[in-house]
Amino acid sequence: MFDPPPEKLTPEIVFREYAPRIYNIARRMLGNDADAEDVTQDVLLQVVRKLDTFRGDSQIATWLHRVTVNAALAHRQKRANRQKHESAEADDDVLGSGGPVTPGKRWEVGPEESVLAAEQAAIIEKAIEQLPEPFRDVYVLADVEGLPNNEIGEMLGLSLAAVKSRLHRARLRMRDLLAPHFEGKVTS
Amino acid sequence: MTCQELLDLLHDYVGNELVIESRTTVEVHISGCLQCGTLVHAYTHTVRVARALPKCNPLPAAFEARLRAMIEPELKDKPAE
Ligand SMILES: [Zn+2]
Repeated sequence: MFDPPPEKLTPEIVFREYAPRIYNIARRMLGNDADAEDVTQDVLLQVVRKLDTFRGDSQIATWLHRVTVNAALAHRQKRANRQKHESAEADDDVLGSGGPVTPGKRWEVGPEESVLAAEQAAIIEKAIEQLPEPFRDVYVLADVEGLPNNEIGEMLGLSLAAVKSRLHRARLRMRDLLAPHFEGKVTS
Repeated sequence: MTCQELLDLLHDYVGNELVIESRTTVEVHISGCLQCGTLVHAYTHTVRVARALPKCNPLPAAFEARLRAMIEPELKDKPAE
């Protein structure tokens, strides 16, 4: 989540504090640098031009998430239209019904991963890129950004049940993708 | 409780959203089912590692420079009070 800003917001602070956060969300949702850069630029300009309307409290955090998500979705749609590609239709069957699951082996993990090794982080980022878009959006906002499911539903135009269901299946898929890297390996 | 029923409750279990009775039922099942115990462990870990990902990796240097140049006019327009 975006933390509350420490002082009165100026364009410089917004640039320093928020541009990287906007970029990280967009990068994870869109899966490539160029698109993430376009979105970051869009959003940053919007924020800077609207600074006067913010009181410099956590109001801006909610707003930033929403604007970033909207910009990313719009960008993806534009790209899909341009390429006459099959658009990012939310096909809830892409990941199957969520069961039965493969048994798998027990993961050998350290007790605390508050700081991930760079190598582990890279594996996880790569797995996120492999999630189908509708699942990836929910996963990034819920599990990476830590937003509550109801807020995500509002942002993406989904019911709470749909958010939960997609998040659950995204997690199961992530588990499958991460399993070869975490099963039976001591990482602590 | 069957393994499939447990799977359906996993999201709410991990999110601490289950009423105590359901929570207990899940925990009893896990304690007697190696497969579900392993699943819950891996699922929980999946959630934890995602939360541990950095939220503000720095911008790529070339992009940061371009972005700064782009908002430069805005910086001048709005001097700090
Ligand atoms: Zn079971």
